[in-house]
Amino acid sequence: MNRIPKTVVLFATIAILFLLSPLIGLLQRMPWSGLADLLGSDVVLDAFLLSLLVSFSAALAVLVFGIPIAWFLARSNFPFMKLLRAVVLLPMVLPPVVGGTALLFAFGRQGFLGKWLSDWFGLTLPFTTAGSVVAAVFVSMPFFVVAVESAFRSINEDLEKTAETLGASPPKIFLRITLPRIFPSIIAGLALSWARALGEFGATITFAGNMPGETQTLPLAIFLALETKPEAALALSLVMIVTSLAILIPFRDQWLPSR
Amino acid sequence: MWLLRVHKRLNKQLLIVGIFCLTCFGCGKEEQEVNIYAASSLTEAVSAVVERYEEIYKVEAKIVFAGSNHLAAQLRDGADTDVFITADVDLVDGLGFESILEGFAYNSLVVVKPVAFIDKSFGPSDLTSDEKLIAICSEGVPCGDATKSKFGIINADTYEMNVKAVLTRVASMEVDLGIVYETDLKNEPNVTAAWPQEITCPCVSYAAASSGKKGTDFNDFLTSDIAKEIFSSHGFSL
Repeated sequence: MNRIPKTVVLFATIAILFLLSPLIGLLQRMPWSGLADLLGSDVVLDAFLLSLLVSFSAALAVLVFGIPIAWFLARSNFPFMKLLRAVVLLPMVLPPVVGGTALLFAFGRQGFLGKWLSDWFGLTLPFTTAGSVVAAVFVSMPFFVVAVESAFRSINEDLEKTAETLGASPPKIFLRITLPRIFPSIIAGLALSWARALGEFGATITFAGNMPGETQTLPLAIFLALETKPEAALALSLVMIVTSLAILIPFRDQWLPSR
Repeated sequence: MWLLRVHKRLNKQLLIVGIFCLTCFGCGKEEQEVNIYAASSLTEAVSAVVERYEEIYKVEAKIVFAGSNHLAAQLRDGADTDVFITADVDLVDGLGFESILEGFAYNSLVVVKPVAFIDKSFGPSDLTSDEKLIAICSEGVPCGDATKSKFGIINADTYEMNVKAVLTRVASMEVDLGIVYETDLKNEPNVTAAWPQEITCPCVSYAAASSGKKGTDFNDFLTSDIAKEIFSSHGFSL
């Protein structure tokens, strides 16, 4: 193992302590004695299950649509590539509340697409669980695309070309040659965007509203509880922290690109 | 060479003078400025009252508008203000204010619809049916508690954190009906009463908590004739 310079260790320690201190603060204020009651309440359980449903559905959508976007961004000769990439990554920098408002302008009842969806299919997204998923996909997609696009760029295209000249079909090339080599990045990107979807607040409350059991995910329940019942907010935060750690810790070593 | 040195010294002196000026400007202003935290339902009225207050007493004021619970939570966590005007007097408990002025203005609730839906007719039974999209305030915040005690159970589609959020939903036509304060009707031209409604109660009573002379002075102004006139012109009952 390489020796890590002392300065690096020092700065890393400071940074880690900084990141850790809010967590310690949270745990230190946690109402441990009443926790069982708080965790057993319907609000917490509903919000927890809904958060799982929304974040995993969003992750699935991100996986299905994110790989083609990443592929296209990495390999196409489309002339306005830089502009296109900026547009795809925009939700990362856009304040989520603005994203939610923009989603309303598009898919809301009065939105240019929403109007059409509701007239033709009787479909309304706002104030439904599907709306929460849409909001989560919107904010979390870029995290996946960034990770996978850089993987597409980093792999050498020669192997794929060789396979092509040897007569392999495009699906076979993708499954047998491309996919295995970008797989660690797919998993890493998926973990990132899943975590982003789980924590999503601003776009969800703006676009999908706040309804227990339907659109009130953990972050929304936490925000409301912070103002009305602070100890419940702490209990909900604990649920969120434990959930994300439970999902993210196992991923770390196995799947992230190894050294 | 010496020129450079003189310059350097001069720069340093200028810098010190500059910093000194900045600090005294900063503290001077802060000493006079009145800090006001006010419930979001008071946005227009309190803005107007503060504007008159600044004119008459030649002071500067800084106002923060948000839901009463949100403001109370900030104050609990160490934010500092001279005046806290809330739609729920209970929220003042334990925040350490010196005096409380209760009931200087009252507000009531009304069911509203978007002005664009003028041709659609609604009735009280729509509040409990599944057909209409309805936004109301969440329980636990003042407008939500008032909504619950006045209307009972409502089949709502979204529970908002403050009354302005409900108003926005209705004004943007994302929902059919919303329950907001009577005063909001005056301030938002895009909403209108959903059906003729009798104003049955003063559902919400505002209280102003204050600390220090700056705070008490402002609170005194809240009960002045000038302030009263502004509040009633915005639709509050007194």
